[in-house]
Amino acid sequence: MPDAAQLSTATPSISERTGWTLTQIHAWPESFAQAAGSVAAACGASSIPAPGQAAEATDGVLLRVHPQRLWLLQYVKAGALPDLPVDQGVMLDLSQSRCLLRIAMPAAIDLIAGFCGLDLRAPAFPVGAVRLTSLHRIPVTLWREASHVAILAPRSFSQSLREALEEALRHRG
Amino acid sequence: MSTGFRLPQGGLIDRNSQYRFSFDGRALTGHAGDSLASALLANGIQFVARSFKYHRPRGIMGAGLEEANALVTLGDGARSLPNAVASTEELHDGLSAHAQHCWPSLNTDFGAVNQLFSSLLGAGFYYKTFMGPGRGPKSWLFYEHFIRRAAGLGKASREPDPDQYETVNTFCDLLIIGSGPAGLEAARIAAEAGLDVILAERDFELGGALLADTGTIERQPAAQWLASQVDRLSKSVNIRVLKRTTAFGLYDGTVAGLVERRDPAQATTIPWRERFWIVRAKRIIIAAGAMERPLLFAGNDRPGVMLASAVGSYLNRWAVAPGRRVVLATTNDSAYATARDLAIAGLSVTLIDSRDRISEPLHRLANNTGIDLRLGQSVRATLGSRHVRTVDIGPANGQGAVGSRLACDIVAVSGGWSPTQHLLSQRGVKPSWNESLQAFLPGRANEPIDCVGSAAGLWRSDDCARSGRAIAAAAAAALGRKAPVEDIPAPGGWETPIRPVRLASDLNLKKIFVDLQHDVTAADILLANQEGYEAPELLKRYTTLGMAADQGRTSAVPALALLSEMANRSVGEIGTTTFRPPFAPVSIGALAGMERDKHLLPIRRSPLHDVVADSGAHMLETGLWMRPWYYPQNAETVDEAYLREMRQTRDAVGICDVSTLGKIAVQGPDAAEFLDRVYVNGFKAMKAGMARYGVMLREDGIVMDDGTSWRLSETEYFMTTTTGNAAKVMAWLEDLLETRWPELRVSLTSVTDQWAGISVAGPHARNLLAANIGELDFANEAFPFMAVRNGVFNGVPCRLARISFSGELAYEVYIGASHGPALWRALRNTAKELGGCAYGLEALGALRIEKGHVGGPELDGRTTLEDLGLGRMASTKKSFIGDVLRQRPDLRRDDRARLVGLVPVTKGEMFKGGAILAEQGQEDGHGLGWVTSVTESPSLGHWIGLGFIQGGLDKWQGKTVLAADPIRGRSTLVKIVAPHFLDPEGTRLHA
Amino acid sequence: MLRIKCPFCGERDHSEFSYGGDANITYPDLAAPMEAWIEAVYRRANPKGPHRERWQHIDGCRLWLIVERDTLTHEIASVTLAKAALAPLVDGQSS
Repeated sequence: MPDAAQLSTATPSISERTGWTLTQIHAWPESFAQAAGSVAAACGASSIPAPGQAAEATDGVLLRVHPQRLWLLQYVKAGALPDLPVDQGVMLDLSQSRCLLRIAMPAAIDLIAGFCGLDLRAPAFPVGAVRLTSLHRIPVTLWREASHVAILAPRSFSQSLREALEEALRHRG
Repeated sequence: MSTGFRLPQGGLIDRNSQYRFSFDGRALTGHAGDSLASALLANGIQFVARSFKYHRPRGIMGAGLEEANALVTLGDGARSLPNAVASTEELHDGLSAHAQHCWPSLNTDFGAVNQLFSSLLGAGFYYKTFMGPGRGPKSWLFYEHFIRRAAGLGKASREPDPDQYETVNTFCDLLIIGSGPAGLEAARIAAEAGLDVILAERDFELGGALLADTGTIERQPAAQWLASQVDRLSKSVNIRVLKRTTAFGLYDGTVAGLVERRDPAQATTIPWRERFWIVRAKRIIIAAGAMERPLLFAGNDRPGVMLASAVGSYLNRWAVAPGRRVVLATTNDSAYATARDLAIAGLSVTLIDSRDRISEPLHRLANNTGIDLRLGQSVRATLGSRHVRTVDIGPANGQGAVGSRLACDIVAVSGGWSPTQHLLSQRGVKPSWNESLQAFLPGRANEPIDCVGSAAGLWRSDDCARSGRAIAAAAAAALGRKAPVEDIPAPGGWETPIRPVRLASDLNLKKIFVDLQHDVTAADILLANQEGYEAPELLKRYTTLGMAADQGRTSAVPALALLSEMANRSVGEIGTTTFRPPFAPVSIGALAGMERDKHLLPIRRSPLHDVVADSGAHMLETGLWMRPWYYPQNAETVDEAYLREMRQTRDAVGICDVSTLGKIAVQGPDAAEFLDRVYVNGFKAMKAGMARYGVMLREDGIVMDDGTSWRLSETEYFMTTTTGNAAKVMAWLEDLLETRWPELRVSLTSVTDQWAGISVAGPHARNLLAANIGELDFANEAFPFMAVRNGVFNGVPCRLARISFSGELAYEVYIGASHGPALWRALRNTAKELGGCAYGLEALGALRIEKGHVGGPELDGRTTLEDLGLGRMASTKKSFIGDVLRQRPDLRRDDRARLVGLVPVTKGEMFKGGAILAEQGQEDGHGLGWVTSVTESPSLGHWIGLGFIQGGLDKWQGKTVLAADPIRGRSTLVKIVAPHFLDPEGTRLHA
Repeated sequence: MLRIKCPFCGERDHSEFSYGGDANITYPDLAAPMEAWIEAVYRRANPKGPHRERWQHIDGCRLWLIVERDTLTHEIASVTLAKAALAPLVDGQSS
């Protein structure tokens, strides 16, 4: 219950992760299954994630962020994905465009609930759920890991978002 | 002088706790569990306020949100809180309260003199008076100064709110508002059915009316029944109980707004003062109870006149007797329980019932407890200066003289009950008047929102409990869960019907207060009716009845009853006004939550933010972005700095952070076709490795945005837009692809944050870049104007285009955002060696004006390609968005305002953007045009500008007009010239 | 607070969306006659009651949606993807 959360210092609960790469794969509707299938295979994911779902990949995670789009987040510099023929889709490197924050559970839920109207109750937001929304008017992609909530936010907003989250964490009672 | 005192035992207070508090500087004590009002009454203090208009003495009259008089100011300085309702404020150690709206003191208030002018201060007086000699606005403004000083109740602090507030967004299956018997049973049934429940209670204790109930519910004493409910709640896993939480508004989508107040005893451990809950519920149950109404008689506002149920609450919940000789006056059964409790406590009780006959049980109650019962009587007037001393009673049917005068110190009145269905009314659900219950009962909603218990017009506790269960079971069933079905009881539950309120004909209407908080009297209502303001909405706005902070809780129905008598229509025919959020006042701070000061809006920073600051940049907020504005050297002002930056850039070289420009990756087999459709000029035929300046139109033919698109490959473009229009253009392009041309295979992605961008401009631009970027031949033939090339900086790939905004030899270089700072430092060092510098937004804008390049001020949403002098850009070989409507005759007229350059006739003079162009001597109407952009030009040695004038260069070249600026008090003669001030052939560009 | 069920993201507050106008307009060819463009750009029925309109889920997936909303009561009867070709990629798999 919200008023039972304890005050915690900001640093352990919110951390930033660096050294990862983010690749966007956008396929045309009729070729999505094929393109997504080869991407999943190449990155070690067992299946194409359904809308709003994440699939574990080798040293990374495959996020379904759009009917036609996958984001492959790789924590370790891996080999490049095989080229995608343009009649199946296109790829784009977005590694520089975002920052990656992680907020430890359970504080993550109440913290995020202060900034957006997402249903974060366990049945509605299980491990592996991916959500696109805005926190403090900043568009973000967030997903639930076993012990964290991970947030990809635009690089230009990263300092502002981090400061807002840390201040909220300091002021929770 | 009041006679309230604390009884030696009983009540739900913790007599072991001793809280110190003060009122008007007087040190007092109370207990945990007291409200401020109960503690004041226990200390013998009832007179706590002065009324709004007439500054009449006022005392505590209620025990909850229905309290209309006891508004005080809590706290001091930045934390002072005016208009705090004493009966809803939880007592805590150290509470400090003051009377407000009185001067110099509560007891001696000079404002009381207003009573002498009461005939001038009736309803709508400000529409009819205060018109001095001359009748112009000046005389009203004279009086307005004094009226404004007298207006309002408490005074708000002018200091920033020092407290913190939190926002909580949450979801549930069922939100229950109110924790009386109906709310508690609803919560129990819903939770047992497996629903996720939130139970919100305004008070700091659960139980609602049960907290003062000395009777039984479901064959148990009320206190015992309540205790077992509360115990069960504390063990329930799927009920979130929010005490001290007021539901103030219901919104579309069954979304509710609530404010939770901090437990004052936890002020040092809980950092937030209030929390704003936005609850998204599937279903809502309103169990907010009902509020008692006062009676109408002369002097019904005097300290000592209280609601009968409030007297019962003070007696039973707080063990406070408000006085010793109580006269109760009622029209219904509910006051009898309070009368009995008062008699059992040993007070002298007289019970005046306006009804002629009552049921047997009520007779027995009166007899058994020694109550002096008088039927068929009602109160006519009270007497007493600071407090009630005597009360005059007479026949209830209004005939005949006053019957008796009774000595008393408390007059406890009950004029009936109004279900608290305000939240439902906020949803546009009109209540219906029930004549036999003399109450507005809630209507049926088209949304899953229900009223239960007294909020639905049920008066018996057992019925309230059952209605809570029945509705909760229906709610559970609607959500697919099982729960035991029960019948919903019918409204009502008194043994003897209520008698409608009737005014005795000989009463002094000016002393009958209907809206206590706004000092609206029966005379005001009569006046409004006579003047034609008959409808409740008009009555409300003309008399201000119901418009105070209590929103007419105790005045609405009595006012309608009066109207009904005067207009000879039933209350049901007259109807009632609509309630709007908030149901009770809400702190602005709570609504703002964290979004204030530094966190009001997020700040957007370029990847070069820190490194340009190192280079000395002063930043400017443009929208959400922070952009470098100018780089002052040696304490330069902004004007000195930008002129120097321009000079150095045109003489040597300048570098500028352009990372904030919108950048969109356009990929796919149909990317070229797509760009051809959205730009006025051609992009399909352009080869890979080239860039082109493009303009986009809106569908109506007006220019929307401009930018440069680079062709990276057969199927990929890098599109740039202006910073300000980036979001708009992105949404527009996505719209076109998804809703108009879904067959096109194009992927659009914003890459604004992916790339740091630096513009390098000036004669040494090539040298500067060649010295820092590898694997790239910068020679003119290898890297011509408008070409796109790839290079490497410190092992990191980067992309460049030779494009110019400034008219100089110039390039834009983009590199992955994290590598931007290193690139900037390298370029900055080389620039310094070459005699160049960094330049900011100010110089960037000035350079493009010198070149005659259009920007935001020219692309103002009214101008066409032709207006901007760009008509020749439009392709004749392909169609594009806006092509058809731009050819409407009115958009092609010769006399449209066209882009021109402006120079002052007297070289030393300046003029400003926004000035109107007009012929000298004809400064009227809209003039001939307007000035859009101006700057001092270091290259030319005088001010220059861009603007629009009807007929353009064709009509005005070489001629002189006035740049008229009456608002800023300056006008300048200017000459119309071509808008390209420097290097019109572009020799520098192609160097 | 209207709650709009985005087919990709699920039910969200209306503040996550940006209103895009009447969905009943069929925009003509880029080179169509002027009258067709005037009709498409300027003429609107503005009904009282159910209205098909376009919303973009700006703070979420950025998809364009066709929403049927009652202009009197704000009741939302349906939400579908503007680009019908995407429906098979979303149907039956919504989170």
